[in-house]
Amino acid sequence: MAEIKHQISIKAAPEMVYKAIATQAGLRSWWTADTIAGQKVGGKAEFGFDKRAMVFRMKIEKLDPAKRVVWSCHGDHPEWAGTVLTWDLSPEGGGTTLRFTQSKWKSISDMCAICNSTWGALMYRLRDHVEGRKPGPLWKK
Amino acid sequence: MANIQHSIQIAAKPESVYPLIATAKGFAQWWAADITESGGAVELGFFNRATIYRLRLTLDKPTQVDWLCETGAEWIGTHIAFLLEARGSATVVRFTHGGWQSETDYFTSCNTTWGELMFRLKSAAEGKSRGPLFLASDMAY
Repeated sequence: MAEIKHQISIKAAPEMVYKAIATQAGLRSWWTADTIAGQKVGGKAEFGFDKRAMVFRMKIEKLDPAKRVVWSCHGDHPEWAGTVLTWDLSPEGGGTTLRFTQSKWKSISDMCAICNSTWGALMYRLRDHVEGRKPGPLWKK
Repeated sequence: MANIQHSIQIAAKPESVYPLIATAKGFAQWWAADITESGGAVELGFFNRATIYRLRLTLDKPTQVDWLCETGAEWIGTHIAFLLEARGSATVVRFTHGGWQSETDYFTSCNTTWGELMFRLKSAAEGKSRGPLFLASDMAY
């Protein structure tokens, strides 16, 4: 099983970073404008791309304020289905270290390498959003 | 040994991408502003040269460029390869930064940064350059 791992330092408290990954408004600010995200464990989070030509559908598995968010993906992309996305936040010198893992990929495919690059750029966009530079989402409506 | 792998599609022909990955002048457009050439190698300076990566060109073909890293606690002995594959009038870039001793936190941070850098390389090749991610003394936003 392959996994994608990322890490970035953010100059903001974990509570601020948590808002960007655990709320609909937060996720719409750096990933995709077409985000529908619930607020409760067991709820749904959906991410639409290119007028919903592709939708990533997640179940919210864990919401641990200022610490951790876990989603399990069940579609629609066949390679994303079955993957687990984990966001871990730890305080570091007044800021936050964000660690992200997308695990349980069936294989290291081209799609995996493409997503690895995109996640890298998204981590920088997420950081810029939390640090107040208003980058906007990578996928606009 | 651990490897970092990325892939991105660029709306430009391989011959337009090539100079950006094979020359100091090219790197300066998307990677690091502080770059010099000496003795068949390029030196990239980060954070007022607190870190210097010296890279030696070991393979220079129109569709594949390899660099060997000669400095850096974790980068020394690692190699960076760019493979360019024409796809119609576009290019698929396959990138590997291989030969790491182990998957450290720095390895993971570099994976994230390479993702952002792939998008900056893409912008530069498509004529919408955002400039280098690393200025001489700090990071660009």
